[in-house]
Amino acid sequence: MVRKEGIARERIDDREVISAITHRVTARLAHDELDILLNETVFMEEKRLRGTKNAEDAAYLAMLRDVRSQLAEASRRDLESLLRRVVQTYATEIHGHFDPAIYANATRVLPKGLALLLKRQKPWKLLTQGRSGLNLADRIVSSGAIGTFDRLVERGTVILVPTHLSNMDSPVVGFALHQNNLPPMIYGAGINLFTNWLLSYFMDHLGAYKVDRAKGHRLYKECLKEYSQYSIERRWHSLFFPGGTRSRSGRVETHLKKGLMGTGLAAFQENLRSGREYPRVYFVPCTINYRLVLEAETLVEDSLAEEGKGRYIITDDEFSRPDKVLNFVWKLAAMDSSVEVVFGEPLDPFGNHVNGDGDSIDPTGRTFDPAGYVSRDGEVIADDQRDRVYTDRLALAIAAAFQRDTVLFATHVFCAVMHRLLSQVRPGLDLYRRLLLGPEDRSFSTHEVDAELDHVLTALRALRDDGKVRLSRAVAAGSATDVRHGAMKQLGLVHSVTAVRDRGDGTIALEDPKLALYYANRLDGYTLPAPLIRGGAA
Amino acid sequence: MSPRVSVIGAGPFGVTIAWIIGKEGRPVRLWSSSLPKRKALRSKRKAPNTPVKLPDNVEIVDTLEEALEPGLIFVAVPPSHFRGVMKAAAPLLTPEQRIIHTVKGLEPGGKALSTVISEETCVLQTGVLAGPVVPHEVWRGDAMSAVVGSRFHAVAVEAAAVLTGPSLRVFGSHDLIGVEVASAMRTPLGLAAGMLHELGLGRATLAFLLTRGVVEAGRLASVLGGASRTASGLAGIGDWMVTADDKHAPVVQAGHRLGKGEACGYDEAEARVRTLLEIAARHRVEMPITEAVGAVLDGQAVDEALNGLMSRRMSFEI
Repeated sequence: MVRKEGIARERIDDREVISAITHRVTARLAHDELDILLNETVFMEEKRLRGTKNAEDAAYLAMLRDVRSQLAEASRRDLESLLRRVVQTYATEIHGHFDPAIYANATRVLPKGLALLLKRQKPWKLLTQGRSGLNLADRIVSSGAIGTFDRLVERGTVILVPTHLSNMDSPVVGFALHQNNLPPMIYGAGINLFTNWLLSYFMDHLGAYKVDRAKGHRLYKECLKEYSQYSIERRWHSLFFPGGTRSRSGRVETHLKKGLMGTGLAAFQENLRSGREYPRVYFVPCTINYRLVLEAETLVEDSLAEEGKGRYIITDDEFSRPDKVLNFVWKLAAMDSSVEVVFGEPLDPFGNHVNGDGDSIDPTGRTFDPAGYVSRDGEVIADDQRDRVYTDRLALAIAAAFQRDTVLFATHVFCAVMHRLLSQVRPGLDLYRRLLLGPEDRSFSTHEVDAELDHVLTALRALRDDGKVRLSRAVAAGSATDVRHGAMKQLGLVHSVTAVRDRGDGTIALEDPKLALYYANRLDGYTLPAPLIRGGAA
Repeated sequence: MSPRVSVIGAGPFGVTIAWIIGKEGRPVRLWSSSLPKRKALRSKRKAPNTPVKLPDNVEIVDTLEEALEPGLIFVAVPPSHFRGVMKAAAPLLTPEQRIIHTVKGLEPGGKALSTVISEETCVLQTGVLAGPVVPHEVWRGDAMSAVVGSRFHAVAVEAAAVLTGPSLRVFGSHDLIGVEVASAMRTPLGLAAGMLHELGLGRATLAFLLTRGVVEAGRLASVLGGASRTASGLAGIGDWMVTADDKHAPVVQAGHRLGKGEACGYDEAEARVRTLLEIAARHRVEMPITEAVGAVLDGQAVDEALNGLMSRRMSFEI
């Protein structure tokens, strides 16, 4: 059964949506210099797609060129018509086609398929076990403010804002929502993920809308933002990854993109102006925590590269290899609670906490109506500069929640410890030089490793007690030796290279410091004591 | 439409703000936590040692609730009392209100007072009024200038509009933290100026002190998220020049006492310097002048502290 909330609450007329988006974007830009805006759009797209062999891209480019050819002679009315033409193209591309029937089937079938895969069981055995036998809860574990989330979906529009590490995030969080009887959410998915027809079919009908990050020009971004705002106003619960792309470095995201985030506040104001019954908008920060990340090797390479980072979109990572994905999921199945999804305390669009009744609460726990932040004497006042300040505050609150609700696994802690030891080998070397140290400098005695692990575990447990981080069961209670053994076993499971190797002579070698760095970086941003001096603990 | 305006705190600066706004015909509500002060203001229509009377449209109200109408609220209370006032005001405040504080210092512990507002209340639209506004010169009608720092453009514009008059020109700044830090630096620099006067040192030493003060304030503002250049504006050097030249300013008088080898005798100023030093240490910001003032407060002779400043290693200004 699909919960009749959000996008599943109503029947969607695709033509109506596309028409509304087209109308709203053209109205918003009505006072712009449309000839310049359109010319800039064509210029940027032509530059990007020049020489394309793809038939769809060629047709799109031809349309844009046709638009440009009419700009010089166009009246204001003509320009508006040309703008509508381009915007309609983008709105059509962006809009997803959620289908409750497909969603219901997918959520019925996929867990069985996943469970089959994850539990390595025979299909007939699985079918005879009933629902309890299909329990994925031991592989994808949800925790946090689920009850509050559940109540808020009926009191306004919820925007889920998760951390982003892997292409598995969307299905994982989708499963976590289903697992907790939370409604379906619409989410922006990279257009590169729609190249596989089967995946594309399911994504398109399960709530995904298309985001083409290569289209960097203003007009496209306006369309995307309008689509998001429109969806929120219609109470389609939404999901954004505020980090924008997968965290290349493995760090918990701190610098969040505010474009889509700001559409929550814009929708809230429009809801107030229109006197809608459920005007409130809620942001639910969410952390998706993996012991191992399939794409770690590629992502960390990209992070370390001088160029790249956000500008470079990886199209050929481990996810482009179905055998690797399958192998990865299979390996994950061998571990308990491979993925932990933590739903954080909800926030209003101004960064204030929200209680289960949907009321904003001030730092001392008093409830209040946040409408006053954007209105005077009951009238909503438009002020973009003000809204940017509020969205900055929201971004800080979300980043703080990410930090607080991140679950650190043995893999993260152990790799961080190995890097802390490496930093002590030749103090003063910067990271890039440390990564070039020879094998002889990258080996440490198990005694040293355990002493440093113990040192770090003590600090992390104190942070956990202060509510500043979450720890997996092993990290929360295990001995240094347990954590080391657990991490080494897991790190050896999925990657094509070995990050860390037990040399069998009482030493442990940091075989691939870059891969280990990816996991170590998860501890960045937490205040830890200085490393023990190498040898000092012996 | 002109906003409703309240002033919380009826010390010299609070009364001056109420007077500035009131004399332009705008209604103002003024509240003091002290009953005798409220009574005196109501009967005499002026604060002690002030030559001017409050206009009739400045209403002295008895409760915080009456003062905190929806609108623009100026808070002019010392940093040590600031959080307490905000706690008391919190249940009466709404998100629609705007709070501008006028405090030239940081909270003991190092928080900017705009941060204290958002920690204690639901109000997010905050600002700070700073700059070289000298009450007795305001009452005389001298032309002068001030700055309102707020992240919210509209709040700075609104506050500037209610304060601006024939003899007061108010600028806006989006650098709230920078203005708060520059304003807070008035205390160590005012103390240092008093010490220099006491030693008989002249304008060149003062120029050295103030221009290097700009660098110190800029460094601190930068690490706290503000802009370093704000210290070279009205909230920074503009205010410090006036303070350094004002022999009657309590902070300069305290500097004189320190220059004589006496006790500071101005606990609030001492606390403000120590707060700045704590933050500087926490963020590893080099603040040699503030450190020298701190050393004098700890008992070092002023000439020794000055020698320490003069014998620092050579460095480049730009």
